[in-house]
Amino acid sequence: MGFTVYPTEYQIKAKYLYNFARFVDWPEKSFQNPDSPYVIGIIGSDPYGIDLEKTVEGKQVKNRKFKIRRYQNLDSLSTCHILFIGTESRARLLQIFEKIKNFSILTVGDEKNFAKDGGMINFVIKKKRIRFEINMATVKRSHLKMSTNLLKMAEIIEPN
Amino acid sequence: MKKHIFNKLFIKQKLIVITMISTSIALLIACAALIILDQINYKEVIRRKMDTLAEIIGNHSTAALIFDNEDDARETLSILLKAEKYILFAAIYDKNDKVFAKYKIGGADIQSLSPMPREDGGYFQKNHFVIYREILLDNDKIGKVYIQTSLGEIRARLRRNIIIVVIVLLVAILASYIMTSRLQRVVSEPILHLAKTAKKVSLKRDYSIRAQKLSEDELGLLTDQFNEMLTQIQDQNLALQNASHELEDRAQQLQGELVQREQAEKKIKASLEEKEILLKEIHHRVKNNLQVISSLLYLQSKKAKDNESLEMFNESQNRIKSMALIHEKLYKSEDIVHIDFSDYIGSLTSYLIKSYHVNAWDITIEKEIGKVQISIDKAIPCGLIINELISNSLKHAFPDSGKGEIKIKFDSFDHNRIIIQVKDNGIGLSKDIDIKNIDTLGLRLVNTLTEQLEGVIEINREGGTEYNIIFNA
Repeated sequence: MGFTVYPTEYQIKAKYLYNFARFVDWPEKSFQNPDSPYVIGIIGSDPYGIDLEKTVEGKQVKNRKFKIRRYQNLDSLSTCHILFIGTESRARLLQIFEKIKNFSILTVGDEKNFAKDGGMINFVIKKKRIRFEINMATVKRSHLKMSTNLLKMAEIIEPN
Repeated sequence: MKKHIFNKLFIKQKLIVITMISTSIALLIACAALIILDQINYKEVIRRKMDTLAEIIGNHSTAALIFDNEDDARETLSILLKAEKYILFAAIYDKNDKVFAKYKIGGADIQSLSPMPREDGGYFQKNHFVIYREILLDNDKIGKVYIQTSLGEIRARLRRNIIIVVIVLLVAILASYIMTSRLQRVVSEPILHLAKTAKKVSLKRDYSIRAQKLSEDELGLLTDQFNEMLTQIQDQNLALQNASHELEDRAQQLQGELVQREQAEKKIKASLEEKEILLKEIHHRVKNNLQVISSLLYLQSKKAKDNESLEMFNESQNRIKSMALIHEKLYKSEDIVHIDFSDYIGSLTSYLIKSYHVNAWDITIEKEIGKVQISIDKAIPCGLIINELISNSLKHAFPDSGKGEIKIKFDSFDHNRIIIQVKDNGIGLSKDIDIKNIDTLGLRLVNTLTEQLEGVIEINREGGTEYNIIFNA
């Protein structure tokens, strides 16, 4: 390798997105079969583009592959496991949260106050590095089990 | 040298030394084995502990590695390793084998941290133990943990164990000394008692002393045998004593017997002397009486009317004299039973020459007398025979010139044969004289006396007259 290619912010975020699957346990009913893939859903504006597909290609976590779905409306959101919510209005955000509150879906965003408003993991930039905030209350309410390894790195956010 | 000193120790000291040396050696071997075992075990403990620690660090670093959070990884390392004072250095590598996070304290050997992690596993080095361990997440290798720990802990443990062993050894030796000092008596006391008894026996020479049996082991057996020996010595002594008493008694008895014998001998000697004196006295009296008879015959002969009668008196006187001479020689001799015949014949011949008024220069008498001793019962006939034969020669052999030679031989031969030989070179016997049938008193007497001696008589008539009378002594 003659030179180093530094990854872009969203390339890193894409990697992190699927890696969350490694530190989170979903209830069994969230999957149809033992080998059903993780579904990473994206709603709202999509900052990843093709990078997300490239990142998860061939990846496997706990014997499950990854599948990317981009949602236009809220009706079929329940089929995904990790949901990245792109820039949305606060009202629209709360609507989405309301829609999926009875499902075990890990919500990820990168807007200020995303976690405070009811999102689970929010990407933040600290000292030029991508870190995250976690809203424990919502995680617990959705019956997801989050690894302490993940938790101890995050800033824990109390909801409003 | 050491052996020499050891040999000089008393038996109880030997027992103590032997026991203590064995105890110490046994303990030392046991303790050394335990220490070595402990070191081996403890190395295994360290290996397992480090392995576990590496696993824990790995488990806690997964998220940090995945989400590129070096701060978290560093924090994880410092939280988990803070309490482990022997850990000098630790590091987490990312999946590209680049150092992701480090942890170190002073004195860490950074050289030992290879830029590229080695194969998984623990390695004991000179002063360190190092371990490499993969960090796995869902079977993906996402990084590696490296831990370097000093072996100070194992050394400290070795030092502590050695101190404990030294203390244990000292206490054990002390305890062993105390125990042995007391317990050795079981062995040494019977021996010492035996030795003391033996000394007492030899000092006092009292073999009735017995050693007390203090145990039922070999020493007890030895004591029994020692006592048995003493009994035997005692018995032998008693037997010797008895024998010596017996010998003394016997010696005393013999002494008594000897004294008795000596006394008896003295008595016998005394009585013998008495008898000798008596015998001499008797011979003396017989001689005196014969002397008196001879004197009486002499006085009687003065009255004789003719030469023939005078000659008869004279002859009778000579015969009595020859007998008296025997008795005289006897009472004068040392030996009362035997007489010295050379002495007797000398006395007899000089008397006869005087009696027949022969000139001693005319007739030479040659005597050849052996050292012959004969008893009185043979001496009297011998004396009479010699008297008759010499008288005959003096009277008849030399009628003309009155000169001649008479040879007298009296000797023994063939051990107990005695010969009387009287020989003259005179005119000789007339041919018609038969010695066996003769009527002169003199020759008849010679015949009779020879018979009495159980002897034989020979007459040789050549160159004079020679009578040979041979008989058993």
